[in-house]
Amino acid sequence: MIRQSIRTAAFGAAIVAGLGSGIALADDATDFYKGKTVTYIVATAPGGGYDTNGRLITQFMQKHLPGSTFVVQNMPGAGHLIGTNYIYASDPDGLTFGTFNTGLIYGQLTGDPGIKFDLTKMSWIGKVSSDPRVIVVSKDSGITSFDQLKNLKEPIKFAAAGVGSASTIETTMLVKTIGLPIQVITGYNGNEDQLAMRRGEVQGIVGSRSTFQQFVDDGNGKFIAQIGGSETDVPQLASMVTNEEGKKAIELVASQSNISRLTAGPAGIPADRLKVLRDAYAAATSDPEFIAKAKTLGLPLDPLIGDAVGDSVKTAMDQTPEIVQFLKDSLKPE
Amino acid sequence: MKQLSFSTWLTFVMLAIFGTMVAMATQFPPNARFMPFVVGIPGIALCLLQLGMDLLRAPGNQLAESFQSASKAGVPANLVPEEEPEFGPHTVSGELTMWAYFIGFIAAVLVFGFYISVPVMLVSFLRRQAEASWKFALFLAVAATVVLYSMFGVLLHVQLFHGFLTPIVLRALGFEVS
Amino acid sequence: MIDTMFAALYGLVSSPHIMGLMLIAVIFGLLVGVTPGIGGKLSIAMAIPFVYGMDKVSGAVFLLTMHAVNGTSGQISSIMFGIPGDGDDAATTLDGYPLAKQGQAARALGASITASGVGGIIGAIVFAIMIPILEPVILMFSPAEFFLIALLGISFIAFLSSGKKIVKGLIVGFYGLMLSTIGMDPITGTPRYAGDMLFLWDGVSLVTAVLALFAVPEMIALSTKGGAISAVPMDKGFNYQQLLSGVMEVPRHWWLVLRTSVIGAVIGMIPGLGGSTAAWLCYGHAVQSSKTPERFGKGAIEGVIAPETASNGKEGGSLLPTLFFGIPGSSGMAVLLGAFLILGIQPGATMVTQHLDLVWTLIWALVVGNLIAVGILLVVCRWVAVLTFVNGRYLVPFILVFVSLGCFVSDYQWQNLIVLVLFSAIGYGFLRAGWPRSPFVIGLVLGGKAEASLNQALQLWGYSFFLRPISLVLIAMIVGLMVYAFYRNFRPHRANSSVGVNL
Repeated sequence: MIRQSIRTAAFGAAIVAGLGSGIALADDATDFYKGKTVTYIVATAPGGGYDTNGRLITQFMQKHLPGSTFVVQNMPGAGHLIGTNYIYASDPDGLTFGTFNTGLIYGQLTGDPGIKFDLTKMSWIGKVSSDPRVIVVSKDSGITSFDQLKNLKEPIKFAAAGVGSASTIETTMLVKTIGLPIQVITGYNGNEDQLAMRRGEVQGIVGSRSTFQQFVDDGNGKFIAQIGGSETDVPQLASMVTNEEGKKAIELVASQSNISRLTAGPAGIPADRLKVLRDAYAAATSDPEFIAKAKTLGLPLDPLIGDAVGDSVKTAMDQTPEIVQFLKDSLKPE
Repeated sequence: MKQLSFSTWLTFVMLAIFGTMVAMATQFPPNARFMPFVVGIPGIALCLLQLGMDLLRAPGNQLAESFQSASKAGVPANLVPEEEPEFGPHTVSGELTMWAYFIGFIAAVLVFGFYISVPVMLVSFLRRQAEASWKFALFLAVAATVVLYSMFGVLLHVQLFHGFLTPIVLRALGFEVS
Repeated sequence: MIDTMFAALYGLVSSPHIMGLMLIAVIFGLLVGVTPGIGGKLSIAMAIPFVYGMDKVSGAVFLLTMHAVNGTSGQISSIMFGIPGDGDDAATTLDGYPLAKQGQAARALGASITASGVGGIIGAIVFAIMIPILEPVILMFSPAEFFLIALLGISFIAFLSSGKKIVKGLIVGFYGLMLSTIGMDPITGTPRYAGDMLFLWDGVSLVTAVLALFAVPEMIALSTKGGAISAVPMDKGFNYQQLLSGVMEVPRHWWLVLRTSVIGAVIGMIPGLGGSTAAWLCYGHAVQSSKTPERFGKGAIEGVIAPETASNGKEGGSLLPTLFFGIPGSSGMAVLLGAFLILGIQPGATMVTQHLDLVWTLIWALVVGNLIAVGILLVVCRWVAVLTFVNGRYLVPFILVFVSLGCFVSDYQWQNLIVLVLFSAIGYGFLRAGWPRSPFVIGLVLGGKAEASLNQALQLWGYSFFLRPISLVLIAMIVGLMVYAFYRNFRPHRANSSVGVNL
C-alpha cells in the first residue's frame, strides 16, 4: 500500500518534473528567439507565389514569435534546387528554414543529380494550402468532358513549363500512364501558358486550380477533371481512370499536391525549437489577418502543421519501382 | 618569328575557347548540341579568318598600310595600338598591379567576407595608389564600411557574404554566427 | 472615357497623401536603383510590407512609382563610371561613358535623364492608346515571332562593328551567343557546361557578365592610366550649360525618341520579350538608322537617348499585360503583380470594365512619377557629374566595391565573384586589343531567348512556323538588314579609313 503510494508519488513527481522541464525547455526555446534573426529562404526570385506567400508567413510568424526578426532571402536558380540545397545544408539551429516547390519530390524520386537534400529527413514546420491539380482545356478546343478528351482521334497540344519542372513531369507522367492523345509542348514559363491557350497554340494544360480559376471564370477555358481537393463541381480524375498505372500516377500527384506552400528546415533542428516554430506557424496561419490576406492572394487555405506534413511527404516518397520508372521515362525526351 | 600583337594573341585565346566549348558540346545529347554547334563552329571559323587576316598580311604591305592609318605622324599604326595609345609594354606593370588588387580583393572577400575586405582594400589602395594620407584613407574606408552596413545589413536586411574563414574564426572565439 | 482620364489625374495630383507617397517612392527608388545588381525587384519586394496598411490606390501608386524610377537611376553609374547596373544600362554605357571621358558627363546625363522621362511618358501614352486593341495585338505574337525578333536583335551585331573590325565584332557577338548556351537547354534539360555547378544551371548571371565586360576593364584601365575619368579638365561655369544642352538633345532628336519609345512600349506589352531586348534593339536601330554610324561607341548622343527611352517606354508597356491579363510583362512586373494581389487589385478583364479609373490613375502615376524623377535627377546630377573630374585612383577602389557587391547581391551566389574575375580577364582583353564589346551583350541576352523560342515554335508547327504573317514580315526585315549591313561594310571606303566602334 505504501509502496503503491510511493510509486504514485514518484510517478506524479516525474510527471511534474517532466512537465516542468518541458515548460522550462519551451521557455528556453522561446527565449532563444528573442533578439535573433531568422533567415527565411525563398527558392524563387522575388515576385510570384512562393515569394509572396513566404513574405506573408514570415510577417505573421514574426508577430507570433516576440522578439524575433524574420528576414526573407531569395535564392533562385536551378528550379528551386539552389535554395533547397542551401536550406538542407544550413546549420540546424532553428534560425534558417524556408519554402520551395513540393514538386522536388519528383526530382528526388528520380534521383536528380543536382539534389543534395533528403526531403524525408527535413524538419517540417508546416504547409499552408492544398493545391488540387486540374486538367484545363481552352474554350477553342471544343472539348467539354474528360471522356471526349480521352476519345479524341487526333492528338491535341498541352502546354507545360520547362523540361524537368514539376509541371512537365506531372503532365508527361499522366499522359503516358493514362494513355491520353496529348502532345506536350514544353517551355512555357510563368503565365505564358495561359496566353498560349488563348492564342490557340495549345488546347489545354495540367495545372493548379488556384492559378487557373480566374482563367476559367473569365470564360477562357473549362476544368474537365481534378486531382485532390474538396470541390465537387469538377469530377475527380481518379474516378474516370481505370488502369492501374494511371491510378497510381494520380495518387502520386494527389499526395504531392496536398502539400502546397510548405515551410521546412534542415534535418536535426532541436525538438524544443522546432516546437516553438511550429506553434508560431500555427498561430500565424490561424491569425484572422493572415487568413484575410491569404484570401486576396487566392490561396485555398488548408493548413497542416509539423509531423503531419512530414508524414505526407514520406508517404509521397514511398513509391513502387514501376512508378519511379515511369517518372524516369517521362523525363526522357520523345 | 614575327612579333604578334596583343590582338592576335587574343584571337588565339578566343579560338581556344570556342574549340573547347564545341568539343565539350559533343558530349551532350543530340538536341542539346544544336545551339552550341550553330554558334561555336562559325565562331571557330571567324577566329581562323581573323588569324588569317592578321598573319598572312605580307610585311611590306603591312608597313605601307600601317602608315596610312597611323594616328601619329611618322609612326607606323601597328606600333600605336588603335584606340588606347596608352597601352603597351610601358603600362604592363601598372596593369598587373591593378589586376593584383582586383584578384586580391575578390579572394579576400571569398575568404574573409565583405565587411573585412572592403575596409582593408580601401585603405591599402588609397594609401599606396592614390597616395592619400593615413587619416583620409582611414576615414573613407570606415565611412564606406558604415554605409555598406547601414544599407545592406540594417535597411535591406541582405546578408553580405561572410567569407569561408570568418565564421569559423568567429565561432572559435565564441560568437554566435547565423 | 475622357473625363475618367482627367478625373483620375485630378484625384492623383490633388491628394497630398498620394503625392507625398510618390515623392518618397521616387527618392527611394532612385537610391536603390543606383547600385548595380540590387535593382528593382528586391526593393519592391521589400517595400511590400510597407503597403500592407495602405488603401489600394495609394499602395499601387507607391509601388508602381518606385518601380518606374528604379530603372532610371542606373544611368548615373553607367554614364559616369562605365558601370552598368544591368543589361539595359550596358547599352547606355556604350556612348555615355565615352562622353564622360570627354568631359561631357553633364550633357550625357542631361540627355539620358530627359530621354528616360520622355520615354516613360510616351510609353504611358502608348499604353493608354492600346487599351482597346490590346488583346488582339498580344495574341498575335507567338514563339515563332519571339524567335525572329530575337534573331533580328542578334543581326544588329553586324551593325555594331563596321569596317576593319567586323570580324572581331562578330567573334565577340558569337562569344556572347556561345555563353548564352551555358545552363539547362530548353529541349532536353541537360545542364550544358555546368555539370554540378548549380549556379550556372540558369545560365551565366547577366549582371556579372555585363559588369565583367564593361565595368571592370574600364576600372582597371582608368587606374592604370591615372588621371580622372574625364580627359578634359573641369570648367566651373560649364556644367549647367552642358546639362541644358544635353536636355535639349532630346527634342532635337524627337523622331528617334518617338520611334524608340514606341518600340520599347510595344516590346514591353508583349510578355515573353522581357529583359534588355528593348534597350538593345533600339540601340541597334539607332546605329543602323544613323547616317554617321561610326560615331557610335565614341560618344554619339543618340546612343544614350535610344536605349533610355526604350527601357522606360518598356515599363509603361509592360503594365498592360500585367493589369489586363495578370501576366507580368517583365520581371519587375511579376513582383508588382504579387503586390497588387495583396492590395486587393484583381488583374483581369474586369480592370477595363469596372476599374478603369484605377487604370488611369496608374498611368498618370507613371507619367507624374517620371516627371518627378527627372526633376530630382536633373538637380542632383550636377553634383554627381563632378565625380568624373576627380582623380581616378580615388574612385577606382569604390568602383571595385560597387561592382563586386552588384554581382554578388544579384543572385546571392558567391561563385559569381569567381565568374566575374574570369570574364573580366576576357573583357579586359577585348578592351586592350580594341575589339568592340557591345555585340557580346546582345548575344548573351538574346541567344537564350532565340533558342528557347525556336524550340517551341518547332514543337508547335514544325518547320512551317515562319509562314505566319508576322513571321514573314520579320524575316523580310532581317534579310533586308543583313543586305544593308553587307552593303555598308563593303562599299568603297573614304580616304580616312572607317573607324570601328571600340566598346
